[in-house]
Amino acid sequence: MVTNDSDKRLADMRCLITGGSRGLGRALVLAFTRAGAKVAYTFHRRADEAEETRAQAAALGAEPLVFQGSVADAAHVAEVVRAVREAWGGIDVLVNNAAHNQIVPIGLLEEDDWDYTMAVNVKGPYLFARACLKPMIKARRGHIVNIGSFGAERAFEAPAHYAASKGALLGFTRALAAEMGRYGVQVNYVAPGLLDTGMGDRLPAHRRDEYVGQTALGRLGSADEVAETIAWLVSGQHRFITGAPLVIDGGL
Amino acid sequence: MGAAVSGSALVLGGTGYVGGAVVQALAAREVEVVFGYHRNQERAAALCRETGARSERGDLSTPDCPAQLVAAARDACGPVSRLIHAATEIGTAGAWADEGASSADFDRLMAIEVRSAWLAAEALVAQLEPGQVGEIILTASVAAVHSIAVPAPVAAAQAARLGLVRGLAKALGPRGVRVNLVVLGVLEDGIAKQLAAPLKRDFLHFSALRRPGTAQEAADIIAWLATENRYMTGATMQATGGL
Repeated sequence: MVTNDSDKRLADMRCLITGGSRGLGRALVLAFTRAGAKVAYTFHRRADEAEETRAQAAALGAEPLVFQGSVADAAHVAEVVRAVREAWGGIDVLVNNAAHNQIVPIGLLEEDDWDYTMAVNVKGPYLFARACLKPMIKARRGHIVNIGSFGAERAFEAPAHYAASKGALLGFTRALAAEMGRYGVQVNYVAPGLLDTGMGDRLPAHRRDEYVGQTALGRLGSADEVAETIAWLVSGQHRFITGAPLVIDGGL
Repeated sequence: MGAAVSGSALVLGGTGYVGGAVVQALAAREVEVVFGYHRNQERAAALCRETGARSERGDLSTPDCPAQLVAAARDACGPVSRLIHAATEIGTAGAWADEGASSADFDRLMAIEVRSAWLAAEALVAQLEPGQVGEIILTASVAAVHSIAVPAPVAAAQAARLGLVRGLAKALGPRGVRVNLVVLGVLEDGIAKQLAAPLKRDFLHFSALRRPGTAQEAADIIAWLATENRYMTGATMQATGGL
């Protein structure tokens, strides 16, 4: 039978998702919940959106753990991982989804903008991965997924600091995978194209249309499509993909 | 949101190490499967008995063969919506490195690895019902994406499969057909058995997981693409254990 979410491919897996309040993060929380996972997620500023995610997860019968703070704050990261381990005894899956983006031309890009983007998009995944690796190494299994961007994969008009941060995240992914493979921990990088939420929703219509016109499938992806792909990726239904970039962009 | 594909599957190279596991994996997911094979009749018969799949014999180095296999699969199961091309000539070309190869060897390699994939894809699309979604998956070795010590024609054929996937994805996307490449690292059996021992040791040493993969692992990935993918096309899925 064709497997789907109802098959609970993540049954009882303990999953931590950063940036779970909206967009792809919310879709991940819900897809993982539908697939039977125990889900914890973080958010930074949008308490109302985080509450909406919680409500939607609750409607699926779940009680997610929710934490507020910046992924670039080492104390916050340590506390989140400590609390999740205390609640569930370990962490099987980490998805580094939280990210910062701002559309600004390079000439107007301030040094603080660059530093903040790097802190959220690169240092944050490093901090969370470092904190989660100990229990994963102990268990001799685990999966870390870093959410990248097509902006780092293609010559596309993406903000330079954002594209650079996602490129750095790919390098981090490869090195971490090489180091952690011997402990049974898989580390992968998923680069979605523009989705029907987040940036794809905020672009001017002519830019969005221009983008869609370049894709083979002729449409934006949905956050659910990407989230369900990631749910499969971390499910343990395969063990041989690691250190790999996976581009999900509808054929850009 | 896009639809996952439904309908029957044609697996080319069905008696190979990976192809056979793909037939098993799809059959286990209740997909009707027809597989093509060339030489190993005994293995084909056993696979049919085991999985309920049907088999068709053909030589993919001949230009008419891919369309004939698609037509046979359609006659047996109705419109074919999934094509998995796992056939390879590498396994019978052990002399590439040591003895050199003729231009005829090169042509045969390209015919099987590249031309037959293109012709099979064209034939698949031609017989789809209006609005029917399709899924095409090719396999390739690591030589498609990394510089490794394999004979240059073999590397060229693998890279050509990558280019073919990208081109087909662009061309067929508007018709609702997705096309992806699964790059396979060193596996326990199949063409990996032909690797020189020192080279194989190097591959495993430099891979993150430090072990060869299995046909089952490769097949599970391909089966997921064939049954659940909805938005990935023109993509490369690297199942290499972190090479």
